[in-house]
This record gives sequence, C-alpha cells and structure tokens, in this order.
Amino acid sequence: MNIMNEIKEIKCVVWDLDRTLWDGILLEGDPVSIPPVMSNIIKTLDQRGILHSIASKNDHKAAMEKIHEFGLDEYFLYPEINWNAKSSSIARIRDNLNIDADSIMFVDDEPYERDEVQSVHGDIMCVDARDRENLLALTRLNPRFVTEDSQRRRQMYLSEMTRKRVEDEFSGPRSEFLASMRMRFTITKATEKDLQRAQELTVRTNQLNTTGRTYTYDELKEYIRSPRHDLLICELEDKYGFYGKIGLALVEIGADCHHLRLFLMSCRVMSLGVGTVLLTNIMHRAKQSGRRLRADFRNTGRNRPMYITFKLSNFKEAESTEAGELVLENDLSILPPYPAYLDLIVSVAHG
Amino acid sequence: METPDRIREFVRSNLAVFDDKVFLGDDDNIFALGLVDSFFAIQLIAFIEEEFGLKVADSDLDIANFNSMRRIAEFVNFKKGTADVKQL
Repeated sequence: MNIMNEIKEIKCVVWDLDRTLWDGILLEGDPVSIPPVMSNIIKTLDQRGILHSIASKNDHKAAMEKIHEFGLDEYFLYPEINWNAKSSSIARIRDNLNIDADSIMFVDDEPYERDEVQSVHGDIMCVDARDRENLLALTRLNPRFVTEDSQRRRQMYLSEMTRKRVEDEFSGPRSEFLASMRMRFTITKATEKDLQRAQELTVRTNQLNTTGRTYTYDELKEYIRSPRHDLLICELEDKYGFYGKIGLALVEIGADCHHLRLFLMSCRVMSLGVGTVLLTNIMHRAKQSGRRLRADFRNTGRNRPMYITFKLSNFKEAESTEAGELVLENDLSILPPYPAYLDLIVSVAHG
Repeated sequence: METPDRIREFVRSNLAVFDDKVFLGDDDNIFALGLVDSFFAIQLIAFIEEEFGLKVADSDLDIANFNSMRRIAEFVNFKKGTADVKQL
C-alpha cells in the first residue's frame, strides 16, 4: 500500500485549435486541416482513457464544423470555443468534468495563453504546441492501467451529458426524474478480472476517497482470497448507458467488528443520487452480522467530502493515531434506507 | 426571517424523494426518514458555508446539528454569533 505522492496521470488534454490541433488560422481564411498525426494522437489518447476538450478563441460554429469535417467532434467534451480568457474556459471544463486542475494538460502555441492559464491554475501542465507530436510518449499520458472502464470513459461522459440535459428539461420532482432513469446498482465481491479497475480506482479517485491509500495488484489479489476481508466493487447502469465500476470498499471482517479500511466512489456519480448506497449496504451488513462498524479516515487535503459523509452518517471519532489517521465508529443506531428510485442488486456471500 | 426560508428551499429542492405530496416539517428528521439523497450531506455543508459565509469545523460535523431544518437554522444562527435561537 502506498500513499499517493507521485506525479499524477493526466485525465484530460485541453487543446487550442489554430496552429495547435490544426495547422493554419481558421478565421484568417487559411485552408486549415487536422494532420493525420494529430488525429492519431487524439484517438490514441482516447483509447488510453484520456479525455479531450478545447479552449480556443474562435468562432464556435465554424470551428466545430471543421472538427466535424475530420470526424473528431465526438472526441471533445465540453469544448470552450469563445472569446473568454482561457483560464476561465479551463475552469469551466474542470468543473464540468469534475476533475482536479492538476490532472489537466493544456496545449497551445501562444506563450501568452499558456502564461495566462498558468498564472490562474498553477497546477496545470502547459505544453507548447511545437511539442505536440511527442505527446504520446509523455509519462503522464501513459496510464499504468488501461481497463475496459478507461476505454469507455468518453462514452460514459457523453451519456452523462445527455442525462444532465434531460434532467434540466425535466420539470417534475427530482425523485421522479431519478426513477425515470431506471438505475441498476450492483454490489459484488471483486474477482480477479476486477482488480485492474479496482487498482485504477484507488489511484484516480481523490475527493470521494476515505484514505487515499493505493494498493498493488498483488495486495488486492490477497484481499479477494482472504477469508477475513471483503473487497466489494459496485457498478451502475441506467437507460442512457453503462457507467462501469464506480465504487470500491475494503472491509476487514473481525471477530466482533467490521472495519472499513477503504471506501471510495468515482466523482462521476456525485449527481446521480447513488453515492452512499454502498456505504449504506456496509452499515446494514455490519448490523445484520451483529458486529460493530469501524472505518479508517485519513485526511489527504482533498477528501473532506468523505469526512462529511461519514460524520453525517453518524460515524463518531473513536481513535486517532500519531500520524493523524482517524478511526471512526458507527453505533448503527441510525440505518439509512436505500433510495426507492433504483434497483439494488447485491450478491455478496456473508464473510 | 430570511435564514430558514433559504434553508427550507435548499433542503426541499435537494432531497431526492421530495415531492409535493410529502410534507416535510421543520422538525422532521431528514436523515432518519430516508429522505436524503446520497451525497446530500456534502451539498448541505457546501450550501451552509457558501450561502452564509460560515466555516463549518470538523467538530461541528455532528448529525444532531443537521438532522432537521430547524436544527440547521439553529446551527447557522449559532455560528453567526446570534446565539439567541430564533423561531423558524
């Protein structure tokens, strides 16, 4: 188990257009084209599970038509093509994708634009478009794992965008909207084929992560074999598509106590009303087994949302270590019910 | 009084199972009734901090401070230094 301190993998590359994604300047009437090497870079990074977006000062319609001409329009999420400062365009992309600035890379040919972005977002990696053809070799653009979930990532964001649009247009109560999504939430014990994704989740998930601990493949493999541990993984689908494996929990089964060593949820599920279903299930299972429930919490500087979630789920601080790690305990006197708007499928043999 | 109205509006519009047929009273326990939509707690704390310019400390994070609209209003008033607890 490691505490995350290495340089973070890039989750999204934000592209300028003129003289960066393509050669030439669109609004000056140049015959602009996206060179095959750039199309290839876009598609290759996409396969690695890295997202793309755009921050360009340009005419939105003309620029999108050009991208469409090259068959790449589906590759760019939340493109910002307007005359605003690029730092604010990038802030919007960051918020729409719900990722941290330090997992964004910005590519632009203008030193001025790179400086402007860097001055506002100190954590963003800014790259000169002159180096664009070497991007595929960068360490930060070579994720340690490429799983089924990473390859589907862009599709999941596209379903998410459709879902958000439908939600905005929906006028009834939120519960009716959520029910209309026909969500299926599945909790299972992880098997060996889930381990790469499980490992990826421990590395990629920052805000909704109770400890920030990362685990090696072999450590996780030990846990799925161990009779004293449950490694739980959950997945979600709705009528717009499959969100993939979006949550993970490691429960240590003691003689009189279930100890939650790790609990994390992908940030994508924030708005879906399913974030605490797994935690609720863990609380119910501890209660049913007649054991206490304890949970580790380690402040990583960015996971306060998880601390809030624990505290307002009636966890209380029981112990703290010198290293500043906390052990929380829940007396299970308040057991939240499952939301009525989803189908919950639990197939976990009791440990 | 302005504070509780804003809290009511926030709570009602962010609870997943809230609809016009369900009446949510100021003293109803929003956590025990199963009205809470997963990460509602995170949204609630962010709302209190932004809307009222308060910092919610770790030690404030006790379910008892937030389990009804009245308790939330009392908490906000307390943190704002108006220790007299006003009626909703």
